[in-house]
Amino acid sequence: MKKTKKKQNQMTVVIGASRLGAQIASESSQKGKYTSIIDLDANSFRKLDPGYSGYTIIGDAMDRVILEAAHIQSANEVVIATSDDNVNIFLACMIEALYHIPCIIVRLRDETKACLLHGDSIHIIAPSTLSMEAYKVVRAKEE
Amino acid sequence: MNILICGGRQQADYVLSVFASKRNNRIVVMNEDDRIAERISEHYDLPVISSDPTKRYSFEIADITNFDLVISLQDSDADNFVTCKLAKEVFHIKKAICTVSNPNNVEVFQKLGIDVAISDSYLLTQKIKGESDIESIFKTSSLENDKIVITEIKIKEDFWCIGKSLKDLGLPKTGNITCIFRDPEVIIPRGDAIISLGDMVVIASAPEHQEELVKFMKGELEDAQK
Repeated sequence: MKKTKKKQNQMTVVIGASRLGAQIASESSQKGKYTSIIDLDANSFRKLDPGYSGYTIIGDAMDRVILEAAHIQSANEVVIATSDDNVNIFLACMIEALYHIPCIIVRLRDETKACLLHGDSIHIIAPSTLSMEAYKVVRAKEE
Repeated sequence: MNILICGGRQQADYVLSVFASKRNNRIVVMNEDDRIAERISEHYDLPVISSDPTKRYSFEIADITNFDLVISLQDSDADNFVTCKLAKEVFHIKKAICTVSNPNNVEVFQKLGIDVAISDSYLLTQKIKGESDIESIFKTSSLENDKIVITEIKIKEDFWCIGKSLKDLGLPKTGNITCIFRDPEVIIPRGDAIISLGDMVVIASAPEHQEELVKFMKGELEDAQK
């Protein structure tokens, strides 16, 4: 009984079935974690691993009804990776304020907006920085 | 007042027509849509920046140090949120007002530090709610996102409270008569003010007490008419 409860509080909620979002959801589900993924477009879920066993929810994550349908209240991790940075920022601030999730990970294409996210529980993934680091590694090897 | 107006089509036009006519206002317009930006700069003699108001660089181009107010009228709630947050946190504009299309975001935005979020569907619903009472004895409007309601009651000939002073009325403590409108006079009543036929009595209360107060005034509450 205790065990199941613990597991349910370890839900991973992924917002945006982008390449990144779908990969994270697939991996989380594969590890046996309760997982749900939200996207506006049902076709996006095709990117999920065929063995994905979590929930898929079609709808706008800016609507709290949709977030709650994805069991956000019992999440210990939320990954926000929609294609719109502004939506990602708004969702991160809203989810932090309303649901007190210990770990919120946000993908931001435009890093200059990172200054708008300053909660301790919010972590930013910036693809351009990561690519730049990879570029430097490649260059270092070449030289 | 120094005002930055971001996004919007007709709303931007209308807001501009109101604010631009006042001489003390300094206004800067920022609009991502080139055609709208062009049209505005043809009609008004003020700086128009044709750039995305959710980007830091747009704010850096605009000369907006010490601005007082940002008004964000973009279509997307998330865009308005980012514009307001950038304006307040990074560029120190004192107050942020924006529109939201989802009425539920009114409260969320305020919780997240946006000073005023306005939803037209929310306002419309409030207005319809207030105007659609078939008895038309009372009218309602609300303040602070429904936390305070203002009820206007027209005193008709069969009302028991005609001729009574506020002191003797014994209105439940959950509400207060804040104003009496006796055309053309506006009375801010003290305890000795007397209610007369034809008065419009304005009562302020929390929404959960409105029904009780209206019933009391109409004499439909048990303890009334003592």
